[in-house]
Amino acid sequence: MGNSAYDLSDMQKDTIREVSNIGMGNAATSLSQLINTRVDITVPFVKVVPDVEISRLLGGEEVEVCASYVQVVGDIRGHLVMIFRTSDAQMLLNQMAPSADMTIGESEMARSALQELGNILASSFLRSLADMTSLLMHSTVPAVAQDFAGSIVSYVVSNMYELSEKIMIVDTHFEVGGDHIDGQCVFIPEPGSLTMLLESLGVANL
Amino acid sequence: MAVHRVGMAELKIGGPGDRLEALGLGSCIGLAMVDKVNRVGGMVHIMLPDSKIVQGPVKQLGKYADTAVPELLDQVLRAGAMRERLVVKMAGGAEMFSFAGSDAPKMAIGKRNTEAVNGFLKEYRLKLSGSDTGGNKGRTFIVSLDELSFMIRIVGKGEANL
Repeated sequence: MGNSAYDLSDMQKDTIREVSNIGMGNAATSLSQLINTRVDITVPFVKVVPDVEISRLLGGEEVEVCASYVQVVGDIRGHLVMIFRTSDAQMLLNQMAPSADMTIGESEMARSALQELGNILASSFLRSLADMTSLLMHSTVPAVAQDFAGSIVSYVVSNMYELSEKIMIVDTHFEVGGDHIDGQCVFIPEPGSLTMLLESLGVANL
Repeated sequence: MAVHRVGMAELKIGGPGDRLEALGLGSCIGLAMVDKVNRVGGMVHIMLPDSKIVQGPVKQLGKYADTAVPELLDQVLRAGAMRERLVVKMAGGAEMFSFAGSDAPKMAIGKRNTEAVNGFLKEYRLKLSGSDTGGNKGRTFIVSLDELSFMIRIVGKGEANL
């Protein structure tokens, strides 16, 4: 399959960054309401990455993380992964439900809560993306895993590299309650969907 | 002694005293071939089962099972390993996520990678003497050429020798 979809102009990158910024901002607001704490995001980082580089994105392949992985289906297909260090995810869950047993890896409720967290973030991001593009998109029920950061990332991107030799990622960092909790959200549209996104945003030829 | 980090799609060769490491393998496969006598060895971090998806020449031979197996064999032999003394082991091929519902695409890359590597090892008449594949947990795979040890690390399960 061709890679021409990935020769993005600066204008196209800026547009993707801007719509992602709005979408991730909405996701941050939803998270903030859920845990009643301030949530900030960094400006999304839009990059076309060759595979060897990607595992360095998370600052350590062997960091233990909790990940919530959603597949985007509809007019647009893609992948959306939320990643928190396990210790940070534990703090988030404790804030969500202070009186419940939310021990990650042990409590079934913790697993459901992580799934719900992923669901809320993904659906608010996709809702704003759908509003801006008038494209239909929805998410699958999140799949949750607790594993090495490198394992999570390589698992997700392998699926994409089977479709294309290059992939475009939108990488956004979350800071919860000042800088105590740091999370990361990665959005990867499939190749054909990237073209469609650019078309619907009116920048396909810019 | 040198430590060789083998990142996605990479292939590295080491000599006596070196270490070869693939950190956080998910659905990918870490495949190692080591000469048990002179301790020359190599590791490749395979991402996908088949290079047929590539148009034109394959630039990253370590990325696909069909190109990675012969390339690793070729490189360890050229570095001085003897074919009949090779110890071949692999780890990885996990499926960490399982999606509920029928609209979720089925991927199973971990399983397909494992099957592909097994197939190509047979094709090149290489005997696998140890493997830890499948399941739903990612793995780190560390080969010490000095000790001729093959170590697997899994989140929540600690370390074990392969």
